[in-house]
Amino acid sequence: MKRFVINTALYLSIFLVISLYFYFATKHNLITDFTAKKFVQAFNQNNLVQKDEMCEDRRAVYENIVFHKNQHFNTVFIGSSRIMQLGKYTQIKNALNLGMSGANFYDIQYVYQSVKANNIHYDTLVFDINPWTVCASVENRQIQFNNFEIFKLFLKDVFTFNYSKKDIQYALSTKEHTFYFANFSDVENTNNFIKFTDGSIKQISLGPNKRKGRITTFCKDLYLLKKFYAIDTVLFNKTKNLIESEISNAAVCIVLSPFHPSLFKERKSDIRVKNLSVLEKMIRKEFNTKINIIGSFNPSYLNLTDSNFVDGFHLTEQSVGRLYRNKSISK
Amino acid sequence: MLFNSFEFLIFLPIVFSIYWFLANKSLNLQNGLVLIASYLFYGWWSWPFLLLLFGNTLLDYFLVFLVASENEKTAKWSLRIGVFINLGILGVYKYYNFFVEQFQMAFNSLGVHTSLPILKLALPIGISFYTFHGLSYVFDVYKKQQKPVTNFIDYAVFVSFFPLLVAGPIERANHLLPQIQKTRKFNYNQSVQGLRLILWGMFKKVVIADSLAIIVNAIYANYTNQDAYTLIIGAFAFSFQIYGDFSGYSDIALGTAKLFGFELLSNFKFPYFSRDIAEFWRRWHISLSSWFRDYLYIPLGGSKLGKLISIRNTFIIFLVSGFWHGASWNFIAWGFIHALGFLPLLLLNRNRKFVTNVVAENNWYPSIKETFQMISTFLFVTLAWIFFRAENISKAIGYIKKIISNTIQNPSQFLNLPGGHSDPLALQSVIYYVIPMVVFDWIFRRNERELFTTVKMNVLRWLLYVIIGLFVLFFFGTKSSFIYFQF
Repeated sequence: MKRFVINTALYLSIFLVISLYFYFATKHNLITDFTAKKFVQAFNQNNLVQKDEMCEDRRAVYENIVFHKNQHFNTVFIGSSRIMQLGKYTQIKNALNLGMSGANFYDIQYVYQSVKANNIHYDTLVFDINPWTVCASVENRQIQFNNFEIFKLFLKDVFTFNYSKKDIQYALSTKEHTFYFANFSDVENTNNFIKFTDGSIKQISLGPNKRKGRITTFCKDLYLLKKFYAIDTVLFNKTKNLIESEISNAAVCIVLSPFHPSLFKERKSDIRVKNLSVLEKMIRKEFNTKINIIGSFNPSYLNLTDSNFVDGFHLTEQSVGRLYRNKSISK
Repeated sequence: MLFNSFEFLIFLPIVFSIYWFLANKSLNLQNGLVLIASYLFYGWWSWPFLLLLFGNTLLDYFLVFLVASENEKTAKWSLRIGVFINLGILGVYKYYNFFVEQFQMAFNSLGVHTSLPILKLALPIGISFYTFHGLSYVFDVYKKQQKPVTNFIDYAVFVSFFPLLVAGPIERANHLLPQIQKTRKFNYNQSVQGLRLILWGMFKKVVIADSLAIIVNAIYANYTNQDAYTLIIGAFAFSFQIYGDFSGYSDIALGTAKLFGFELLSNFKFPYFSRDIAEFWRRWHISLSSWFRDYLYIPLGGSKLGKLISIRNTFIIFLVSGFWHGASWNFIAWGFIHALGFLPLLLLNRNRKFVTNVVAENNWYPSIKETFQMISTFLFVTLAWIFFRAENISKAIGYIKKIISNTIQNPSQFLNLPGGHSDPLALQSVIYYVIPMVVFDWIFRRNERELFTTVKMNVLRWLLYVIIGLFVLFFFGTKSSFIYFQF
């Protein structure tokens, strides 16, 4: 028994030491300058993302941040997919878009802290605030950058000499990734989709039937608004504090991107749709006098119609431009 | 409580420590502790169903005294009552709704509309396993192969011993009870081997099976939109998922039992290295197939009463075995397919060709003939697994049809592997997860209980332990249930 206890304790000690090493190693971001350079260059070579466009993939967002460390930008965008291709169509020069699909508060906070940690400078910082920033999300896309998945990616980054488009799209099988596996072939043309390593899919174009179907489904199911029965005041205050902490450093903007008009016609009595106005009022009350607030959740603000939307909650690229041209981004 | 849960990580060392440091002086203390631990283990999932387990145990405990009666009539009737009650409980929980639905469908097709009540009962975890434990005891006592146990705690431990309670191996009274009735002494080698089995079982479950499950679930959930290539990958992935899941569970069960000084029956002996279906069934879920052999096939006459009876009996045990897995036609179809695969061997008297030896017994690698035999057996088994995994027979047939039709439509999809498919990652992942397991199994295929022992260098062996342990740690956390818990 004594021998068994000693050997087991020895094994557990070795195991503990190595586990702790991995734990602390993966507590640090293993995305290095070297790997970021390789990764982002591969993205650019394959036209998967431009620095001023949204990138849906969380890992790629972080690679992008590391890649652009110590640089200065006119505008940096942080938020969800609803700020897609914002830099390009707002004609803002020298922008860095760090939008990521379905970004919740913790995604935003992480990206913001990473921007700071990597010494990226900017004149204007744009926050895209959404209902799912201040409520429990129906999606769980948020990935920890400091976990074993990233460690595996790091190993792959180090040992991959040439990235192909496929390598980037299928760089890693994460649990989030394969969540979309089942849906992947459920598209009109799979060539219109790019699947990223965190499982999100960037849609290049939608067929007309698919688009109509998506809008109908969105109005029926409310998608990311599904749990928006209440505004989480804790998350709202955290968002508020994050934004306020930045006011003294740079010009700060908040973007309230509109939802499809049919939502306000067909589901106007739904508490979750009503909560959109409540949230917007709260944001305006809190920030109206301090910073620029661009747009509104309600599309009637800019007389936006069905044709201005890609789906239930994404504006077409041109409409994004219209949203921004309507109000200057700088304070 | 799941083996792959945090609770079990706490539970096991505590019970182990009390067992060897405090309860090692007395057999009653050891057994009492094992019983309490087993009930805690089961009750962690559901206390009300613990009462069912206790009731079942109590009933069989008392009934066997009548079954053991010298009066033949009393013994026979007691046996019938025991079988009726044991199978009755199983039937109510597991099969009642199935039969009601089938009766209603049959009557409806005749134009008679019936409305029998459907029971909304949860299926108690492990009911098929502990019912079969109890039944084997009743049968053995009836056949005078086992004396009735007078100490209730001993018998209760036999039925509810926590490592095997929820998913086997299905133990036999004459194998486990003598171990329960004897004070266990700590054995270093046995305990070390137990830990090795637990570690390897965890790896198979947490790293391999759970990772493959993601791919398999995604493909099966949306099979109508997949290409043939992806569907084939899905079918292969499930073959390894269910093997990793169930044999992983069995390894943990065997290993845990070893820690407490018990030797359970082997449940798996590297079944995918089988050279024909008969050998496969001597290596897959051995405790169940031998149970059916001893308590169903042989009492029905086995192979002693001529070829026709032998064929009939073979089909019966495969169909019953399929039905044991679940009250659904797809499980019955799965059993039927295996019976069909077994039939040519039976007709040609080749069903006992590979009884004692293991493939490539004295070589590092198999011959071409053996390779062909293993691959063809594996392909057959994989085909049958489609029926096992699909939700129903029509979906299983649809899955196979889609493979065939899509292959005919687009045969070139197999020429540009692995690119050009809806998800080339699937193949990559399957290869990543499966290769380590297959290589490991191949190296240790001669003795499923002596894992790692052929690695003579201590440093190398310890390195393996640490690497495997780290993988388990990194993949730990999803806390997914074992597939066989549902049976």
